[in-house]
Amino acid sequence: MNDRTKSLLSQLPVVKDERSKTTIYENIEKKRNEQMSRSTKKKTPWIIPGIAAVVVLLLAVLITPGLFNQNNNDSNIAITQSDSNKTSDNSSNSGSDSKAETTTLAPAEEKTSDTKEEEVPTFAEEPTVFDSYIPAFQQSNGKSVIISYPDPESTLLVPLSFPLDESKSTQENIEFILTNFRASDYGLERSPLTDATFELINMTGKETLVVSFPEPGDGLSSTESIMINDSVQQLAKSLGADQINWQTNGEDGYTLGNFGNADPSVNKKPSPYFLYKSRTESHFLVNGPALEGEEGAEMDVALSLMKDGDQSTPYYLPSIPATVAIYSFDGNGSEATIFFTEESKFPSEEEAMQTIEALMLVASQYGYQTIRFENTGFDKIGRYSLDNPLTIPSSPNAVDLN
Amino acid sequence: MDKTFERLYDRYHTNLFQFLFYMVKNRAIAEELVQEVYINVLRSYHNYEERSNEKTWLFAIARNIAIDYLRTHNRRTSRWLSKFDFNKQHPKDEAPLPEEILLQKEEVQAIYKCLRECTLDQQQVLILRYIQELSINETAEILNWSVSKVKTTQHRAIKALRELVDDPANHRLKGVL
Repeated sequence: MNDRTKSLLSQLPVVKDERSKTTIYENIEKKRNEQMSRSTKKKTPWIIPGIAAVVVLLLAVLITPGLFNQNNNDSNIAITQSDSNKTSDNSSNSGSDSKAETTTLAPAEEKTSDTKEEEVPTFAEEPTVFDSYIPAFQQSNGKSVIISYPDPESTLLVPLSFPLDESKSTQENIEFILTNFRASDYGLERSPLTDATFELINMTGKETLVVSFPEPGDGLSSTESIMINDSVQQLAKSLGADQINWQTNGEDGYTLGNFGNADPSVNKKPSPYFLYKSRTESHFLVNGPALEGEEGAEMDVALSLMKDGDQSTPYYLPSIPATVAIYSFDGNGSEATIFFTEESKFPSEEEAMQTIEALMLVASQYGYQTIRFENTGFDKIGRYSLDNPLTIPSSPNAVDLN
Repeated sequence: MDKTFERLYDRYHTNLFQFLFYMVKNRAIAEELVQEVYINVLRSYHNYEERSNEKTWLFAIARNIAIDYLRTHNRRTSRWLSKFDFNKQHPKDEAPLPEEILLQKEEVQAIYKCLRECTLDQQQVLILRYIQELSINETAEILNWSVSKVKTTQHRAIKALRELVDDPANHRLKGVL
């Protein structure tokens, strides 16, 4: 069947340019000349701005003395105003002064409101709360730490991002999260890391996450082993650790059931981001299985999986809705552009948010730092203004314990 | 007439034009774009290093020009349509089939129609590999991709194209990432 398709493709006819060589050359020359004359014209681009600058200078010379006088009045009146605020009964200003005050107060107020506008974040920066989806943790909000929680059937782990308080130790941060976060509120189970202790240290020039479990892990089931391993891996990645030092009750080494000794290396293989809906109808982004070898080398494999979902795990839902398709993905250095097909239509802003954050998080694993989206049908999705390339978030599913 | 132009024209024009035609699916636009290719080539020919393959260098320029056109066109159309909130139809879908294609048997016409439903990446690979009959290495060089990416995309593109031909009702969203 594939051969038939290839054969039909090769039967597509030769399409010839019916113009003569001379006609094409003449067209090219004409265009080149036009381009050259345009660039020659651009060689004197200073003439009009130059004239404009001279006019502005002349106007400035004429107007400036008046402005200086005005400014002097302003400053005087500002002081008067301040004084009058202090002493409420001091209202016996002359009529002319009162009039001047009225005219000069407006600019003073404007200035104050301008300053306020600069300080208050724009609407686009404010986090948007959705009914079900929990948006990702933004780089602008500082550092985050990922603690993973399993679904009730232990088929997958939901990585939740919590703000990291850098004034506290790793252990204090994690302990605080494990104590105060109620996973059941989100339809999730207890973290597999609950009984462990953590420390981030520099060991022979490498950032090392030391994780110590109170009991040996020889008797762990394969599911328990995977949950513990993947949770520690996620945590290590979020803390920027280069390696993991697994310990049992403070002693080096930890056994993960039948899998044997836990691997000290941090798994940095890319993986697709799927959508998981918990029984409380919370929507989270979750990592699918890591992509190995050639599969992991190209991002389009991850994108295909995110479009189709993972048939082997029904809980891994597609993070790209069925009504949306990617037309092209174009990477250029640290920036990528994702074009959706023109027919694509996101069912809601919330689903658009899920998709673009899933795409940004997967792209970050391939070294992209900013992503531009085209044809989303939105000017703004949640906090993201789509006129500009978006800075990738640092981690999925941001939870604020406060 | 510029000797460089004359030589490049004699050697590559048919292939370049054909490549651009199948990329943009419009004769008039392909005519404009091929001229753009020559302008760019003549402007930068002194930078061309003879160590690299002249053919792939030319095709890479043509490919970039075609992609720039498609993206600008795509963006413009999309913004215009969304502004007026029309039932987002792709204008090129209504474009009549070129005469050369109309003369072909139905199956070939179907392949042509389905080709434009594939992703841009898939289209490029299919055109370069099966219409231009370039090797995988040449295709990889033109697209500035790894050989394995060309192979993977080619595999997916053929699969997508076959599915599109088998089930034309799903044209809209099949065969894309």
